[in-house]
Amino acid sequence: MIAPAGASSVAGVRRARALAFVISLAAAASGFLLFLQFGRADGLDWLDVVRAVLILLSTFWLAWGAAQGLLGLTTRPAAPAIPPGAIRGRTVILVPVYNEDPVTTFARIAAMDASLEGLAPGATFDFAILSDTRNEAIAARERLWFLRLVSERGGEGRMFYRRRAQNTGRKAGNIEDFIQTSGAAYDYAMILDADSLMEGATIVEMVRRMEAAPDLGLLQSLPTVINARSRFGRTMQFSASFYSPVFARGLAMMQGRTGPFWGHNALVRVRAFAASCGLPELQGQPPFGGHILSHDYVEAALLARAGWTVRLDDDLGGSFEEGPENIVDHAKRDRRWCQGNLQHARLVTAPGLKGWSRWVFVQGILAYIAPLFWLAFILASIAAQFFHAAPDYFPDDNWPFPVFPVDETTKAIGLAVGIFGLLLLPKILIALDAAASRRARGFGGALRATASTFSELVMSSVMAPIMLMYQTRSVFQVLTGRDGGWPANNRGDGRLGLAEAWAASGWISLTGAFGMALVLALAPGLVLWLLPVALPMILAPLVISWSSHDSRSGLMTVPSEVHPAPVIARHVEILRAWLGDEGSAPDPARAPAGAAAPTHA
Amino acid sequence: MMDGSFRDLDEDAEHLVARLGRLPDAPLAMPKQRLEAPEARLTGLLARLARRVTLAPGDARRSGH
Repeated sequence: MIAPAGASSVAGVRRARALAFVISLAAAASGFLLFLQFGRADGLDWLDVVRAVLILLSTFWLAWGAAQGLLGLTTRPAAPAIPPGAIRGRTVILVPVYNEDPVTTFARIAAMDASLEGLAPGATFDFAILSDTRNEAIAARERLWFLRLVSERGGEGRMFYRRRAQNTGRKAGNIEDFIQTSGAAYDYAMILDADSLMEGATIVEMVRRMEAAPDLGLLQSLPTVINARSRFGRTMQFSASFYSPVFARGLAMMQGRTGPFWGHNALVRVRAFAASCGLPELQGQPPFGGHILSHDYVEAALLARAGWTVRLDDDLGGSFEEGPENIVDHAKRDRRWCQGNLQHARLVTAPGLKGWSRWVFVQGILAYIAPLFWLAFILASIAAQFFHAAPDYFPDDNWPFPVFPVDETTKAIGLAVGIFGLLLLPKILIALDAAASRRARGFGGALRATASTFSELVMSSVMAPIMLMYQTRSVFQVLTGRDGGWPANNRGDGRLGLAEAWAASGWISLTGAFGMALVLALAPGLVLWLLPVALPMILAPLVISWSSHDSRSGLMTVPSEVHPAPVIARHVEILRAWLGDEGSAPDPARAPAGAAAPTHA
Repeated sequence: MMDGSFRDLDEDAEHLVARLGRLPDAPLAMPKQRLEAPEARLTGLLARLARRVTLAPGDARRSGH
């Protein structure tokens, strides 16, 4: 079925939401009951009940994700019909930067500007670089490369650069500062990240869609990860390119008027955003108080509260971003997101929000809390070995024959199969769907896409226990009041040696080894069950280092590698021209003529 | 500005950037929104969990401090 973006009826949205909830609740209840039956075989104790509740919560969360993927397979995205006509509104493309490499970032602006050329004659598309850079050397380079950008693109009067003296409110404060200075000059603002890249045609199309829908306050595109080089980066890139569009389709079916904002590659109606999205500081100190970290979810909720439509149009192509190249950088970014999402616990009860917006906050919190349920389940299962009572073969004094416990092993196996099914089924179905349709062609054909899917499943299974440990530490740090600050994203090549990997994950390795030794001594029957979790933990430094190195495999091929979009090719050309032929991997600390010696922020 | 002058920029660059890069002067108000419910019990609970979060006056009174 083809579903035009933004065309979901109220009844359709309700049906999709209800279906996802019913599937999730049914799966959770089944898991809960199966575990109780399994536990009852040798006498139900309190640890069995605790574990059953943990299974209930974890399964609900897994099933919710799976339901979204399954829903996404039932329809195909399609573009809404937009009446032709000239663009009337003025658009500014906002590029907030924070200690990023200005050459690569400004080359993206040049590429987008070139991509916009001639697409919408008479329409205004200005660029504003909003610098929050704290590193003076990088700031000096920003100024120099801004002049180069203006010079090459003839950008005087339509390309702007300003650097804030104080980076109050971080990215949200940066955007707010722009609106308070210049917001009245524009009707629409395309909010980007420093690593965002968008086709001019996509930008123009998004403006047209916003002009065609006067109640539309925010239009989110689906960014695709590009330019990954490492094994980890290419795995994430494949995952984002292959699975995410289907999960996004499911999300789009459930969004109604309360769609998501992911903080970048989205168009906002400036007056709606200004009137609705002024973020207050929360009472108290970080991590729960102070500035709102994950501002995007909150801004989407506030726009919806004010009556504006927030929409994800998943049919839009030509929207790109870059991702971390190794697990450590991924974990650092995840630490920031974890703090931001847990902070939303204070906003779930904010007055006037739509119910779905509150549920979005809860989902964001669950994304970090749910893995802890699994950890708690493992710990409770180990503890259960010590509280386990020996079976009573003669429960009835008047019955001379022994009564053997009922073997409920099949239920335990059924439960395990069900849980793995929830994890694997959506991805396998997406691979089958891609093979049956023409979508797999962009991923190297049906065979290669299927092989890539299985490789991704192996990689993600190996990485999951390592990420579980990082997430557990993040949640613990946030709950104990430790603020993660605002570290700059590392967008370099990201290769990590064993020593660096050990420094970042030695504690995971030691925890895994210690835990395994303990289980071996106290509950050897669990060793085989826990090996898939413990082994990746013990080998974490090796996994992290290995996965950070360049991938030369033909697996994990994505469309942007086979046929790069014109704006990607243009970006590479400009970067080469700016830096010479060796300019494909610029070093942010390398200063061009005129810049001061680099220092690290 | 010509490409040739790009590498010769020094302290003048700052003034040039300030002039060329100056944002349009068109302010738009962005009023702060109310987000925290006055009776948010979850907030109070998390504040206690987090310990370092300052208690709102109302919370402090309710908790007897």
